[in-house]
Amino acid sequence: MKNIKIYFTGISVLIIGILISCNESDIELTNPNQLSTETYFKSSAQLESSVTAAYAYLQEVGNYARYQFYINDNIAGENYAAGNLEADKVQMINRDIDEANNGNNQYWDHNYKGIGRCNFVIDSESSFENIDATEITQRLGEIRFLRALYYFNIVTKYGEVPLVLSSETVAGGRPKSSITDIYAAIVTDLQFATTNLPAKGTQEVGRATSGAAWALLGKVLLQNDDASGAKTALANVTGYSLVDNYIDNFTVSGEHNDESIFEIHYDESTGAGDSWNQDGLGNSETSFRAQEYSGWYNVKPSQTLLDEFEDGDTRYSDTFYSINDNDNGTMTNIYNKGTTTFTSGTIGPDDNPAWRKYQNLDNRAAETTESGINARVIRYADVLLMKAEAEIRSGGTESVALGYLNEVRNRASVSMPAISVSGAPAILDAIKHERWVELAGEQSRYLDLQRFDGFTYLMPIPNIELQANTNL
Amino acid sequence: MIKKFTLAIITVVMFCSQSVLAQTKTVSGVVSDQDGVPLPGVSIIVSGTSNGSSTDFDGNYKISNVSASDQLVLTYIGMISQTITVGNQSTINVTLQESLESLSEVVVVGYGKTTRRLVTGAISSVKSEDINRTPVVSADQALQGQAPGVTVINSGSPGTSPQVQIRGLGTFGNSQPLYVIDGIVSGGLNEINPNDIESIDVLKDASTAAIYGSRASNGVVLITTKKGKSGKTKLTFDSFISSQSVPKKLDLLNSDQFRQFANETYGLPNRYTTDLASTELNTDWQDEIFRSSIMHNTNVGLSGGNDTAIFNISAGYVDQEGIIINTGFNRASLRANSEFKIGDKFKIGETLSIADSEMKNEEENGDRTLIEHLIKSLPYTPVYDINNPGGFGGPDTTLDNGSDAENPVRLQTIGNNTTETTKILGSLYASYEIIDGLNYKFQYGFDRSTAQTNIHRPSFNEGINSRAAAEIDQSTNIFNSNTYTNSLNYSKSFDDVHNLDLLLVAEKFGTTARNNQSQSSNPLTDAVTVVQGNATVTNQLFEYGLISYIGRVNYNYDNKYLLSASLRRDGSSRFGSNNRWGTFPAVSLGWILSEENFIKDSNTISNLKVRGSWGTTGNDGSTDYVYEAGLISTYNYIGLNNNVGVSNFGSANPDLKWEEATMTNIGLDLGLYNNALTLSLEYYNNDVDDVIVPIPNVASDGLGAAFTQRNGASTNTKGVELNIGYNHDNGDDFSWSANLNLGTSKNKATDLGDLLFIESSIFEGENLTRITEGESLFYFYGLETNGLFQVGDDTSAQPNAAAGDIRFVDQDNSGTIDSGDNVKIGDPFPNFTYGLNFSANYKNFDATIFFSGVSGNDIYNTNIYDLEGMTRLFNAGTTVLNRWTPTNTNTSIPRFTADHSDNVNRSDRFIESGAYAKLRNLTIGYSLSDNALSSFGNDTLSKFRVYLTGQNLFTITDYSGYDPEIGGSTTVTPGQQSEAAGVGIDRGVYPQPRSIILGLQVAF
Repeated sequence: MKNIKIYFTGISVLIIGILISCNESDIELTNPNQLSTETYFKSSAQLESSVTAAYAYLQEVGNYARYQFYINDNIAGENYAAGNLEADKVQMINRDIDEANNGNNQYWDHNYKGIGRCNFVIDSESSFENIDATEITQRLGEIRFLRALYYFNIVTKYGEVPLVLSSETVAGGRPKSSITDIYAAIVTDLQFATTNLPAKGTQEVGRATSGAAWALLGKVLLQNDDASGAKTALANVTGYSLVDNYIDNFTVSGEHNDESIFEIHYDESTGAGDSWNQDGLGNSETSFRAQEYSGWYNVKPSQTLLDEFEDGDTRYSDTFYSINDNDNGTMTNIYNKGTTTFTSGTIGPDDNPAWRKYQNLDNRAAETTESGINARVIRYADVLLMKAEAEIRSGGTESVALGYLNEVRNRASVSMPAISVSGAPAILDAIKHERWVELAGEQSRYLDLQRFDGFTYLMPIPNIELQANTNL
Repeated sequence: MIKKFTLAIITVVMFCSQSVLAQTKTVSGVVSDQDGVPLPGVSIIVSGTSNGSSTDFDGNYKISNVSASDQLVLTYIGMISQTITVGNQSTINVTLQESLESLSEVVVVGYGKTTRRLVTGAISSVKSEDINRTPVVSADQALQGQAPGVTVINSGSPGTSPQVQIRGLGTFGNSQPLYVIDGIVSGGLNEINPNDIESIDVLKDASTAAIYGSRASNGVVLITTKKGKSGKTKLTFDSFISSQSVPKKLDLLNSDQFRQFANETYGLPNRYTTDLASTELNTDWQDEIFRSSIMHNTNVGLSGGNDTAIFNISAGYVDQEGIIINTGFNRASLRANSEFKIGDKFKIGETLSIADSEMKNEEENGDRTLIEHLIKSLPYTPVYDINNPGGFGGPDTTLDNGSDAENPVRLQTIGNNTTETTKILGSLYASYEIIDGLNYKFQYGFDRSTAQTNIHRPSFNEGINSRAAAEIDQSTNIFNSNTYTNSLNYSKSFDDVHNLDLLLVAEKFGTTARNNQSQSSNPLTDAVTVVQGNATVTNQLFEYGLISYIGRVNYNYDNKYLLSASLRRDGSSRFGSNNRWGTFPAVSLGWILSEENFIKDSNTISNLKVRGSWGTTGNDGSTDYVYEAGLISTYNYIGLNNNVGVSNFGSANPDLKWEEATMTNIGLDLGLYNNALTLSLEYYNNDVDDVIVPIPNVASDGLGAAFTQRNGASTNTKGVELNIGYNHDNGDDFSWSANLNLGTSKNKATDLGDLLFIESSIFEGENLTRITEGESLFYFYGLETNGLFQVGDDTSAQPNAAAGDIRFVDQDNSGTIDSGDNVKIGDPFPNFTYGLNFSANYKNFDATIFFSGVSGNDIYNTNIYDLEGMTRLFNAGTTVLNRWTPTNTNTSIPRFTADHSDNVNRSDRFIESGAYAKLRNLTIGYSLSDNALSSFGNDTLSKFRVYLTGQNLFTITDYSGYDPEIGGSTTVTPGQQSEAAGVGIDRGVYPQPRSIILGLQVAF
């Protein structure tokens, strides 16, 4: 009896002991020092924050804070190297960008990191809890819009690239997808966005709207040779109008005006921070545009661009500072609240006209690296010109197309005479001219060259991808 | 039940049958050790029979049925067996001598112990005498040169743990061995009083270490603390005092030499024209920074017990001043170990140690060590200047040509930088013998430590260097671990020849570590030394959980053929969800040839054993959550109501697993002439796969982080270890012993996956070390030099160069010297490490000589950059006076040139041999004889010894710096990946002191 009792005690102790040891949850730990994927997406504020993160990479140096404008404007021939232009940007002007090119690497990196943030939200949909279904579709609409915009940035500059639509990684990286597949993915995203996003007015200012989604869809389809699809899409861009003053599209005070369809936010008050090394993180939410263009005069508008302006087109003086009228007839050399005049030797390393668009100099004596002017990605004038182009390219009515075109020329501050040519080629030429002038320095010309002039220059896939992706 | 009963009957029957055969009697007596302490549990067997007995708690035994011709065989673990012919005696008192030959020595292994004879793996054991022979504050420092294959790099900085590597380096990350103190895993030995340690057993191969599974591939160091012995209560007192000094000084320019040097190079600083008098001062900064210092150490111990309880209580205090001013370490420690028996089968016990320590830290600033500031400080700068806020002298912005070394005395002494640590480590355990041979044991172990670093840096202005507002930085690290161990052990012999030992363990281990840091600055006053006002506060929490199941079988046939097999299954929170559980098997075999008849009777060979082992162990790294990719909340986007962006960063790697080492060991043990001469030889070959490396992420995956930690590389380490011992003890007045141990190790990276190289350890903008496939780990990388250009030499490969500049070797024959000419220029890890130990006794005198050394390693001496680089106007070494000039062309020091610095490019100019042999220890001791003790101490005194020791009396080395022992620096390590990555890079190492020690040991 006694032995049995002892055995029993012994075995009990052993069992208790082993039970202490057996709880597997003791080794399933999550890092308490940071938010965890497992516990996230449990409130609408959390979902909202994850969408906010997806906007952040539009703002970065690889994008609209720096390389978006250098890559587009330099490659498209809108700039020439005036000042001490760094080698990677000279490569852009010379159209001989290599794999090591800093801008090329940053542009790739930041657009794909933006896509990464979008994929994260899309992949997490199954773990959303306590969030209203309408809100979910709205937020996903924003995300799909943003992913489409990032991919459009990439496909138009590189052609075939890896199409990454999920956070899941593939050993060695993904191979290239065809341009057709990439455009299909962009269009699918935008179709989702157009049906699920609220319109301007009901949507919070700064977020993607249904109007922005239709406008971008129109742009994408036009670029991908689907003019009738573009025409249909663009017809849905309603509730916008041209502002009277052309220059209001490029100032802080004119942000989110009636003409604005989608903007990237910058705010001078956030300061420089670590803006040179910004990588989506932190509070450096300012643009280098003003300092790079007419602060350091690293680049100036090319002569072909200046020559494109018709005599008396006031957009010339709204777009450039100059110290002579350069045969255009309009000229601005006054800045710093009207107190200072550009004279020979003060307008950069040479006396040629300099950029005024997106500059702060009208209101101050000198530029800084922290410009707070929002970048206008799409505005209504662009939409009108795309509508005109889509109308003609889809075999539509010439008068309708000319109507859109002349609406742009008839803006109060511009008031250029109406165009009345006939025949598709002539009208397309007029549209091409109008886009060049109206959208100078707005990252439009590169895409226009692709559509109008069979321009095929693409950047090589950069080292940042080549070093780790073995499946290209 | 039935079995036991049967056994009893058989025994009775056997006794009966014997009693019929011979005229017999009963013999009794007391068995004690050399000190007269009675030994309980000594086995006494009548030779050739199964008649036997054992001593009780007081050492008494009684054995009946013996005849005059019988021989009694007395055996006891750790003692020399004795055979005594009974004759006509009826009372036989026996004194057993402690066994000096190692075969019966107790060896502690994972979750148990065994004897040296039965070991089939690679274990090095170091006893307390060897640890305490060299006075140290931390026992791991004393491991140096004591165990083959254990490489210890000591630091002179008091309280700084040495770097310990077992069998070389097989990983790029955490290379620290696992420390297990009385069965409880605990990081490092800094808070353990070496005087409390009974033995250190180093587990080096898979068969011994694999029982620690996912944490064992860097080897395991088992620490066993002193337990009480039943018998007389013993009081011990040990104390020593030591005087320490810096063994070597560098030759730096004095004021006159500096004036000459400056005049011939950068031109005299403005000070020589504006304030000539002040340039005549001659400060020897080495004299200001180094000092003679005192260390003292006192330990008191009380141990004893009876047949139901044993105890060991000790207290110690050590205070070591550093040989650099305002550095030092002190520790007060208390230990209480006890064990109680309740009835025959139930045992309960505890171990507990509490230690409180304080370390005054060595300073550095601006990525320059104190030593670097010392070298660069101008010789005419005064140490103190009462006109400056703070009271220190320093170079002036305009007067001293931009020389900006910080006054090293100010850097090291102003304000406060101390770390106070409190550690409580202990265990509670209970064991119960369920049936004969079957024991269940439960153990709960705990480790609590709090380390608080308090930094107060007052304001000062010494010229070019200043601090406007006092800075206060307080950080606290709170560490907690709990271990719950259940084990079941069955140990039994069958038919006298089948010896079986089975072990089953279930264990749970968990840690939490909290790091709290607060920082503030105080522009108002230097008097407030605590954080106030607008403080920056950060707080982190790390957790680690491990669940383990362990099984082990030890079997031997007739103590001749040995087999051991173990299996551990670890579930660890440090692994990704796809690899959370790992299995670590090991097997080993041994054959004791000397037990075979063909050797047994040999007069020469007293022991011969061959053994081999194979198994796998793991390395789970030293950081938590590596596999996880969390979310970060700084993807901000201004202008939205909710402008805080939260998203994923990096890529989770659920496949992340331990680094896995497959270890093979072959060993041979030989004992000759009754084991007077012993020899052990080991060969090992360790392949480590799945080494964790940062693999670049694919950019198009847009993960945010540039790298993901993945199991992506492999290494191999192999080597040979040798231990030869000779012990001459005929019982004469003179006895001596000698021991040589030697270990080799050769490592190489066998696979790096898609990575071309891994680089680390930045100095002046260049990574000094590299790992590439097929080469040894962390080798030094740079240009090879080939003397200096002389007038007329072709310098076309180096367009900037002229006569007097260094000529680099054009490795790729490209015609120019560029990055393609970088090659392996050195190896920081030694080919072999060794220790050589002599000890002798003559009557009451004893003496010890102990050397340790390394060979075949290189040092990248960055101090040469400061001593001979001439890159800016700083003080320099006197060698710059011998630089190349058109009239001094026969020299190795390049010319002075202000406008280009190719001469200081990363190259073998900075590489020196790191080989050394140090006279670690030379001791002479005198003990009172037994007679003197009894007359002097009135029979209460059992030991009285005084000794004189010289430590680091000399070092044989070609190395030009302070000390060739250079571990991974903990103070200045930009870009460093791991502790091992900085080994052998001298950025201004804290030299180890030379010490003269006077000590006293008394026991009652």
